[in-house]
Amino acid sequence: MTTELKVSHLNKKYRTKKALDDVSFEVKSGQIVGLVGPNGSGKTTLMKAALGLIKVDGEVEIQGDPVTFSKHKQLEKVGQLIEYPAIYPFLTGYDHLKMFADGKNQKARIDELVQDLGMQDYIKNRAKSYSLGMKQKLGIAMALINNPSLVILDEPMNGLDPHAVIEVRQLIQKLAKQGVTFLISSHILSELEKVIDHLIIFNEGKVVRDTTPQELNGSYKIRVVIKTNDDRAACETLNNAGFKMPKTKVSFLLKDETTLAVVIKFLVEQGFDVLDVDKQASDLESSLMKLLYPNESAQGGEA
Amino acid sequence: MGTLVKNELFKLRKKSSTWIMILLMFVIMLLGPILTILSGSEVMSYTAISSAGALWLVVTLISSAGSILSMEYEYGTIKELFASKYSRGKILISKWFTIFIYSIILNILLVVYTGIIYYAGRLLTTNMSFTWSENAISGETVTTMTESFLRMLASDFINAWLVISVVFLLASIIKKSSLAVTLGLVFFLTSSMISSLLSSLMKLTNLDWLKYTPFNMLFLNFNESTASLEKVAHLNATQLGIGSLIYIIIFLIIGLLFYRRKEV
Repeated sequence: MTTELKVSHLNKKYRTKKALDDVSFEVKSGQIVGLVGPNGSGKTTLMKAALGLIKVDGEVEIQGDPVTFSKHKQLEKVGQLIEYPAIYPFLTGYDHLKMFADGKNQKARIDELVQDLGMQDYIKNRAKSYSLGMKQKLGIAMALINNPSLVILDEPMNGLDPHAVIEVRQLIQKLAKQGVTFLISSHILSELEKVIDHLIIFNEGKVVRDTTPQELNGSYKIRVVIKTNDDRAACETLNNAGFKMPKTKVSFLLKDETTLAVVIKFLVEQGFDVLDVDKQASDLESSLMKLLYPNESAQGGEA
Repeated sequence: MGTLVKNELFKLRKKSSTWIMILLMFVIMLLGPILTILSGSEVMSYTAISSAGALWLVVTLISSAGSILSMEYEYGTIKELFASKYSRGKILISKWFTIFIYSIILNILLVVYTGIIYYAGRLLTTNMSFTWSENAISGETVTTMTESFLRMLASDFINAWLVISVVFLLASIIKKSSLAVTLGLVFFLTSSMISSLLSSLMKLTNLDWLKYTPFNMLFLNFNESTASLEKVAHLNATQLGIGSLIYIIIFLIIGLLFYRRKEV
């Protein structure tokens, strides 16, 4: 796989605050990379740096060629939506797409995007009448109009209704299959999880983790909650036998596959009825919370 | 660059304010002759018809030059422009070109409107004489009215661009469209007052260098005789014309230097 985007040792300071602190990572061609982190962690600053919108120390390369504050040639291959869609209220949606479309088959490309994003009903209306979701869709369409090889989307699901979220997701997946690379930031982690195949976690201007969602989820143990006919007594018995349990709920993190069987066998041998076993698989949101806020997410015992 | 200019012209064309200003120019030019007819005056020259339009033309260009830059910040579209393959310099230059083309179109409209009102006036009124073909006397030279009209257009055009270059400079520094436009209008409206003050100051003092200030350049008028120009501006028309062009270039280049450093 070739490298689509490479950032090396990016640093950016706003007055005293370090917005980017020695940020380096690579995005391979055809990947859908999620960029996640708390508000103010530097995600938008990083995207702006990759688009040559701000001055930074360090290097940005797209397909091996540099992009800087004054060198924009490579941006020909990039589509973007940063912060909020760039819309002229006095133009129609169609005008926007027509104006930003380059090269051949413009009409066919516009029509296909309008169709894919379900914008047929209002694309010929002036954008000042658009809702937030309609503007967002138009912004996404503008990012995709010139068949870019790299698409940078900052919070693309902002303001979209559930149906539109599905349309955007399907479009991203369709384009990724055609080899388009995506770098997407989003707060809606459950949605991001459905499309990304790689993950860059940002905090305080630094890359905290450069991983895959599976790897991240897998690095946190699964929590098990066992419901018995007498939870309090079961906990006491388990604690006496050396298992670490909370006082009222049989709840623990799985260390390995055998732990669950050991605990259930022990409870049955002690005369408890096991009524239910709930395995709480770790999702991206909880994995991320555990990584970024380890103190807040700690709860329950360990078997 | 061609695509950028085409896009800028497209945006200008789609803005309703563009058409409103063009329509208002005609309405304002009509007001003069109507009031003249109502007041019972007997002579209406085409310069009287066009002068209100010429003033409106500058106001229109000031607001367009201010907003062509600042609207991009207001709508957030500046990111779309800057994140494109085009450099900031090319983006700004495409905007200059657009306003330049617009200023030419407005001048053509000024001539057309003047012609329409002039001929309509001749057709519709019987007791008024709408003058066109007589010779005009400017200072010691005698020129035809047409020539004098063209001279007026040329001097107004250069004066307008001196003001527009200041607006471009302000709008390259200030993000707020309304502020850039207001400051441009203030510059334009106070310029004649400041020019007169400078002129008086030059007479009273030995501050001869004041004649090289941009305000003094606004005295440019190709219809004035050299003697009368030198009396107020201490420079002749050619010198004022060259001075204006130099200032226009300086203001545009300073604006470009600021614009090229813009982070968004």
